Amino acid sequence: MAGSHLLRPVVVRHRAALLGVVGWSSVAALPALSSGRLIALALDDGFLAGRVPLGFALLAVYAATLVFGAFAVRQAMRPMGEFTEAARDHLVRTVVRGGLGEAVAGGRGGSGVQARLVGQVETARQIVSNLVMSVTSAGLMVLAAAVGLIALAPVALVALVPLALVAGAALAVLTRFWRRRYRTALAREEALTGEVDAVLRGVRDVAACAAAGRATADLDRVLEGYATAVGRAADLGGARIAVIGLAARLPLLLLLLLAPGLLAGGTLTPGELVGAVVYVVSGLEPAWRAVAEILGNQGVELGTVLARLARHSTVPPPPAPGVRPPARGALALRAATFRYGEHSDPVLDRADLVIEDGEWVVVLGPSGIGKSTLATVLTGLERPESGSVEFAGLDVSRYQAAELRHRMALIPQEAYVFSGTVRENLVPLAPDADDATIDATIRAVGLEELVARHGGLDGPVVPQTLSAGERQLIALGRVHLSPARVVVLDEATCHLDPAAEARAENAFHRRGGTLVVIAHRATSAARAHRVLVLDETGLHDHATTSGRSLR
Amino acid sequence: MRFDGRLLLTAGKASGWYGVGIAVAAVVEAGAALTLPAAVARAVDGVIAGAPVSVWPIVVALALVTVAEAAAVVFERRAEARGAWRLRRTVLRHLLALDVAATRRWTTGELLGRVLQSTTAAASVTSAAIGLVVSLLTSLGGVVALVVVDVWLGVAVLAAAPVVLWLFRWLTRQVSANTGDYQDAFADLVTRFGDAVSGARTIRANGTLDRETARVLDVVPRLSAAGTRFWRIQRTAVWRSGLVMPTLQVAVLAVACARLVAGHLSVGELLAVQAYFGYATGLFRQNVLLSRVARAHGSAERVAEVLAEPLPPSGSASLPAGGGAVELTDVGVVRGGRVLLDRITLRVRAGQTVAIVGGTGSGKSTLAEVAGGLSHPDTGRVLLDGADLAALRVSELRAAVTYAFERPALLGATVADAIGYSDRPASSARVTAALRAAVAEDFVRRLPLGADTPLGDLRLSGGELQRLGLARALWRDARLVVLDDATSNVDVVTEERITTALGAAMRTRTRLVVAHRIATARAADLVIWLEGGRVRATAPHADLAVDPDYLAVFTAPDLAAPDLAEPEPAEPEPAGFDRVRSV
Repeated sequence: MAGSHLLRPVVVRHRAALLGVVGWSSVAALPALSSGRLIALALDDGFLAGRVPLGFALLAVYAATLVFGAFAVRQAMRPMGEFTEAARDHLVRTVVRGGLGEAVAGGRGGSGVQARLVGQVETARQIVSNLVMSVTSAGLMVLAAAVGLIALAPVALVALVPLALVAGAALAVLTRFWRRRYRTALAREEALTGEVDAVLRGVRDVAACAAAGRATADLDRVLEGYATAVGRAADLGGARIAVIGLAARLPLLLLLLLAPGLLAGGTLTPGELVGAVVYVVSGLEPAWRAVAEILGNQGVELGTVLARLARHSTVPPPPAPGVRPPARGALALRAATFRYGEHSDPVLDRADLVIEDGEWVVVLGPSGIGKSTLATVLTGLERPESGSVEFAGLDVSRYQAAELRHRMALIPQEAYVFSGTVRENLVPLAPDADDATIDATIRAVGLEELVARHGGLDGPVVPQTLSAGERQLIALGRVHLSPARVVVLDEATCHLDPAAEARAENAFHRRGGTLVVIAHRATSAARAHRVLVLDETGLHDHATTSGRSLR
Repeated sequence: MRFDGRLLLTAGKASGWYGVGIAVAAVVEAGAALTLPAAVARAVDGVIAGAPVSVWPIVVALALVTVAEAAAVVFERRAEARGAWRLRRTVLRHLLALDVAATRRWTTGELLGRVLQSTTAAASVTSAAIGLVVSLLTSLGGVVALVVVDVWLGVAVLAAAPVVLWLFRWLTRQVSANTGDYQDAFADLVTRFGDAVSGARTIRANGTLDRETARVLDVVPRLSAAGTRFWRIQRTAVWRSGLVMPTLQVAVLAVACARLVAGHLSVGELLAVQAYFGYATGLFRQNVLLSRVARAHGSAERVAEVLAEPLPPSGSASLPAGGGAVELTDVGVVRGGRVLLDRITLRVRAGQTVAIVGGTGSGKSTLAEVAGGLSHPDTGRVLLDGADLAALRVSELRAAVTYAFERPALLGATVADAIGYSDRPASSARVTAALRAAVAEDFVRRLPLGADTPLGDLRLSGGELQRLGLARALWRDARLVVLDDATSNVDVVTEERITTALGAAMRTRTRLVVAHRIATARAADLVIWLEGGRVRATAPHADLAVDPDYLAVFTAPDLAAPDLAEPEPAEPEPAGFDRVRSV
């Protein structure tokens, strides 16, 4: 099954629990094994033989086995819970690591796809628990009822074996086709969700583009596609139910057809006939249907969910070892060329640049020209296809990745704030910062008002209630507090007013270290030591002390 | 909850004839199932007595049960799929016809849930209701059959009923209380994960992936604790029902055996008693089916809420010839109890370029929306070339106005498709020209497949996205062009190039431009200065520029809470890089 490797470690680690489930479930199948025999005895040797007390005594034994069975099911719950909870924990950990790792690596999938991933873990948990519990117990019940029936009436073997083989073969074929249709329906459902999501996000845009007809036509197409696929899958699903039902009910018919001969021949007593019917009707039939239906439906569903989870759960390989970067040093590009796609124009074309330690540099240029790319290449987050990026004279790829990230901090335009306290949002890069240090940062970047409004450092922050400017202030504070020697602000102050922006940039200058500002406003240039311009012709160095016009 | 029968009927009708199919299949299945034990009893008694036995009644009953069961599965799934399809079509058409402002009552996530999940659940009402009725009848049939076979058996079952009912209610309460804890913990996990995914770029730049992963996974112990509690409840539940149900079953069996000894019951009837007892206990499980109907009803309500949102006024009038003169008289807009626009009266002559300026929350975007007919005012009138927008045919109104936004949502398959997205799509020549006018040609050429790059593969910066949105607005022959902060993320140099290109492309059209930059106001023929939803002044920039309050508008800090009237998208933007990468 695709994606089943996700669960393998849990199965291996918790095999004792699984064995426990199987063990207690086999004990729980005792009533199914003995029911027909006990009822047959109660009738033949008790009630029908005129020994009524013995009959009641045997019924009491039957009741006792039922209670004992219930006790065994109760006992099976403990290992069952242990296994299911472990499976869920493992899936959550794997998916969070893999999904977040994938998003952070800047790979596929928008936030929507990834956000939904975690929710699917819950679906997987429910199916796993159903599969393990129901299938184990129902499967053992089928076995127990079949053994009991054959022991009571060996002739049943002649009827049951061919029936099981034929039904099994028919089901295998049907299930294969059904599974194909079911997967088509799932794929169409994903397409449908994507289209509806896009249109709902763009209701305003559909109206503004005079495109209600186009949007409706697109939606109708995916809606119809999905409904048709579901209908086609349902037809085969119905056929499967018919085969399962037929296989479950034929034994009763066969038993009744054979019964007159067996009774007349003396191989079967009236009580045994009743017992055999009990085995077939209350043991074999319901249990077999449960196994066949659960295995078919939920097995396929679990496979699909696991496969989807597995697609986003590749944990990134550990970084290659490297040398410890020095505390400070110059940043340099040496003939660095960078492009995003094989066929696209290069964003950086053999660019050369040296930024000295402690320098304050502003980068200007038209939007979309690649200033943000320059920022990611300069901080070693993207590798150039040729040439090199150096820190303190050594290619950045030669350093320990984690240590390099402590030296360099980049703040992107979209500030990251998470649900937690103000403090938790400020200290990720400086876990040991004391209150005095944090207060200094708050005053330096201008967070006083926000902190006061949230009731101090330990007040909870809800990201959605903050303005874009406030979120940027928190992101600035976080890096201001960090030990990073090189700080790159990639339009990180674009939602601040000019005064707040100046305050933030000056705060980073006073903090010491190298400061690179990808500028949103030309006024940033006036404050810096040096101005760089990135345009279609490449990267230019403008020695400047005033924010003069750049064109 | 108050049940609304009409609501359920509407939802049920969406399933069409499949609903009738479910009903027929369910009744046949129940009828055959109820006759089967009696037929088996007669056959067994016959066999034991050595009399000739006809198995045909049993064959027919078994065949009917099997066929009806399979048919019910097919009909149920098809009814649900068809019902959901119809409901979804209706809701989506309604949403697209609504006033744009009216759709903002819900977040995108809420609407997505209503369109996809609620419709499916509402469409399941047919099978849920039929299931409830038929199951109730089958269970009652079981009880009646027991009474018919022997009245003491019926008494035994009914006597035990209170205990069993109490048991199931206790179980339901326990489980639902614990489910709440579990779901809270899970929701926390989902929020933390979502937060972290939205901050992917920062996490990458800071190298804090491990820390963030640990922060998200902090919830796991809480989740495990709630899960473990669930299993403990489950153990108790299994044990309690494991004591009660078998006791009842064997008690019924014992009564039957006693009656057998007394000669009131045959061996075959003893078997039938076992089967009918199984049906009768179905009586205790009706709450499961009832909750299915209740859930379908709740979902139908959520769908109906969207459908109850009234459509905006529209008429059948055509637009007279003209150059896009706009006139607002006493226009007022109130949303969620907040006055966004207050008695706005103004006039824009055909061909004029007008800048709309003002601080955050002053009503600029609302005015832009109302002036172009994207949403309708609560009071007052908006005229385009003398025609009341509320009386115009919608298609005519939409064709006459074009919009570009601060955060355009691109729709369609590829970049070119998204630019030409319209009921009357653009030719490729027009798309190319529009891309050039919006100064987007260069970066689009650098995309992996150029203008044919699928939208799903794009990672655009804010400025790039805005320029595509602008290109989408530019190629259409609209007499009124509304640019709502459409170049705010574009740098000054590029914006200047765009302004020049726009001037050339749209010399004859009327333009309303919501702007933060002073240069835009300077270049306009007229400035509408808004403050708190009212017009503070309408005059050329040169006349206003002597007022320090006016100049302060252009340096106003962006630290206020987000404007409630113009909510940010519910989901964070994808962690993006400046340039596009292929997937």
